[in-house]
Amino acid sequence: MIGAQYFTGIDYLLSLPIILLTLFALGILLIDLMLPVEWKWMDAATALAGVLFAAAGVVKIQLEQAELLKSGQHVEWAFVHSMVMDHFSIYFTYLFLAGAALAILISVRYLEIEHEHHGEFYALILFSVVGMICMASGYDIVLIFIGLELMAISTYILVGFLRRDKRSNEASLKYLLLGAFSSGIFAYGLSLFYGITGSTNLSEIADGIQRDMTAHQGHVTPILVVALLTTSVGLFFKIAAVPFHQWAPDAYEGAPTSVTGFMSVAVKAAAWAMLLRIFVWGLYPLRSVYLPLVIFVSIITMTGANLAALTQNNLKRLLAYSSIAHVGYMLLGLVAFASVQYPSPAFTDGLRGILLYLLVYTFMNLGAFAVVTSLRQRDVIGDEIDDIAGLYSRAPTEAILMLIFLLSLAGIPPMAGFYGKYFIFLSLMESGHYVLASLAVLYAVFGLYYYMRVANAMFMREALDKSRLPVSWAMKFVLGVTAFATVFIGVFPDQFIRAVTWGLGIS
Amino acid sequence: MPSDSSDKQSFWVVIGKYSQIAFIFPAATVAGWLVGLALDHWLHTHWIYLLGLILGIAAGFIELIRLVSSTDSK
Repeated sequence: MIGAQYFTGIDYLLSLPIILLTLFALGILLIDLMLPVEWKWMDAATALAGVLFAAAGVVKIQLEQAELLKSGQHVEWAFVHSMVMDHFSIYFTYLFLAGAALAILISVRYLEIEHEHHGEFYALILFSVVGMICMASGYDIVLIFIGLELMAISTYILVGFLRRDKRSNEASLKYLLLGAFSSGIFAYGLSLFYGITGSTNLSEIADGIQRDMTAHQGHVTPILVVALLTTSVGLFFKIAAVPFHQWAPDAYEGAPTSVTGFMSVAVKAAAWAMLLRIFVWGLYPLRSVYLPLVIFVSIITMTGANLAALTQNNLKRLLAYSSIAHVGYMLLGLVAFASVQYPSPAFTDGLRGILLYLLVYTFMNLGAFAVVTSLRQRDVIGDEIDDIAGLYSRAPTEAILMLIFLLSLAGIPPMAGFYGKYFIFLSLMESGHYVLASLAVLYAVFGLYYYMRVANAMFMREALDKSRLPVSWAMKFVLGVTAFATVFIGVFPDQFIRAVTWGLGIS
Repeated sequence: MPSDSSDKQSFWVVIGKYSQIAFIFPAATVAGWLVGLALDHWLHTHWIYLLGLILGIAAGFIELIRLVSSTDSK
């Protein structure tokens, strides 16, 4: 049998999280048929169990890898080198699972209020995470693309999950159309790389590009430039970098708030994992070519997003533009990486900054969205800054936690967000990009302004609705975990910096 | 950006109004630090620059919050 030649026990071990998540997602679809309305929370419980089992699967992989390493076996590759479960993949898998678990918890009560509490929601989240793991661990552009589409299609449906809400339907359609076009352009770029190099494996693509450049006396051929540009367009769309960000504010605003939180952390982390896999491993020989492109995109992203966020009155749109601005800061880490050669400190600090940024961003942004989600009541949508006005008088603990998240998003020490920006700016200084570093600092102050607008509304303004805000136990747990992580990572960053260094595969 | 569509402020006036945001905080911080450094030099001490830095940061925050409050109340 042909399959038996290629698929071994190691292949199934390394794909254990994917298999478990898929089984649990299918299980949710089955049990949902049998559950009465008041028992729909069982779907969320099953999804959480799936996430926990998948996390246990990742732990199992690490233990087996350590065990086999003692006998000299380096076990990372699966499915004929199309998938790799290295430190980078494992780091991002944990991040995706954490984001999914928190998103599931904040969704339960929200969906009950919206009368859209269906098992498909949780199954789609799990399928989306399967796609994300494929994107992070994929070493073959076909697997990466399949993972991307699995994640994207699941997310398109999640964005439009509020079937009776026109904004949700519109947001989903916009996201689908723009996402489909960008995926097509991305696939075109990947196909060009296949045509030039004759392989879909990232290492072989890198070698093929190097051979092609050597054959042309170090020059980059026009076809390579076209391939790079089209691939980059697809990648920049997925991370919502300007000018490919148009879908993000509308999708974030129209989607259910818990889905917006999930998109802003887990989906973004997956897009970044895919971008780093392709740019760092596959297109490394072209870094001198994509460096000016990344510099340009990062500057216009920070500029466009920060200026747009200044004028927003819708909380979800404000956080969407803030999310885009954070992408601009993270792109600066890629600038530092691409500017220097290994073993320059900027080489690793740039990438370290991106990974640490994604870690702290997962908690602080999901915490902020959890607060926005809790504003949704029977007769209040809870999307506007006016809805969060006077939150301190209605729910003082929530207001203080939201302040923590806002200060962290602004990069104020001792919150975790400071360290994300610190490593990015440090890598810029080490690589000699002083002007970019200064610009980034100025834009960070812009961010402080619009985050303080939200804080001003919470503490200084009168509440439109003065009743106390009911908060579910699941929401309290999520707020507690995210706030604790935001402060803990900021006050004790060393172990997390070591974890990020481990995630890069640097000893 | 003014939410009243009848406001006649030009694009450049609005840009000027918002661009000050980016400079308030760093300017206050640097100013506080420099004043602290100058006092250290004059009084032959080595800790006043820290106090100046903290006061500068606090002043920057206060000015930023004042700007936010005045913009939101319009």
